[in-house]
Amino acid sequence: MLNNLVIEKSYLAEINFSNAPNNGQRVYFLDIPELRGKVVKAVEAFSANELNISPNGKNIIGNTKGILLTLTDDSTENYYQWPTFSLEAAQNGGIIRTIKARKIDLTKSYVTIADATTIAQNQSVCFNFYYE
Amino acid sequence: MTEPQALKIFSKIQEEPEIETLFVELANHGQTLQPGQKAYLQNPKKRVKTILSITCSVPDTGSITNYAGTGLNSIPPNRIGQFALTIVNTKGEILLNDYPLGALSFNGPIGIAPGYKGKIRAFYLPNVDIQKSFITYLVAVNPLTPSYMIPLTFTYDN
Repeated sequence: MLNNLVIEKSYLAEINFSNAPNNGQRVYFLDIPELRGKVVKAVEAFSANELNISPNGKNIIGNTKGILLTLTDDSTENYYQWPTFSLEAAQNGGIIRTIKARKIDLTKSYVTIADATTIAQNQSVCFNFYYE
Repeated sequence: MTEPQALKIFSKIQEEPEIETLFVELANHGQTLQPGQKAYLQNPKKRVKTILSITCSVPDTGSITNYAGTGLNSIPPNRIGQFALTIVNTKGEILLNDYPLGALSFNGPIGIAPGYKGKIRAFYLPNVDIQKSFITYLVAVNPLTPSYMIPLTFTYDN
């Protein structure tokens, strides 16, 4: 059985919670030059279930239920407070969530903390951005 | 990629034109793998041009437990989350950047339901330079001792 997406390119992006976050707090992505101006067509989230440590050596959060993802195209938050848990393929039978292919401004995109008790200081959450 | 193009690739993968499993040796015998260390994909039997699927075939996710005669054992399944795969093309462009191996297993992480339910991930990675592609070991604690390998099963279209 095949997955739902043909993957051409992917980049692993990380958000690190260098300070223990508070409920409702937004934490933004850093700029990733490789993704500037690229058309993103799918997003996948990772917890420690799939990825124990980020490439930067940070522990990955144990579950993604306390995090909401917002993706911004120019100044429009087209994907607003998307439950990150639903972007974890291992939690939904292996499906990678596809989106309408569009450019994402990563520096204006962020996660919102819905449940800070699920995140410890200096842990990270990682997302794979699938792009063309 | 248009929908007809994607359907054509799905169809091609289902035909499974060529399949090869590479056993990626993590460290030379007598050495210990260090965090950040790269293990390069080496010595494919087939000429690799386009990769159409990748599966990390560690035990309990793909049934390969060892490679008889080499002294190499597959990493245990609970170690799969400690590695990431980078695939580059012949121009040196990175196609997959630090792709978590845990996302390439057959059934998904241990103890997580429903997991991947056996779905194979479909790729279209043309002009791959397999010998410049590598697996990175990410973990700073509990370093793996020598003699481990990671079986990666590829579908090619050449």
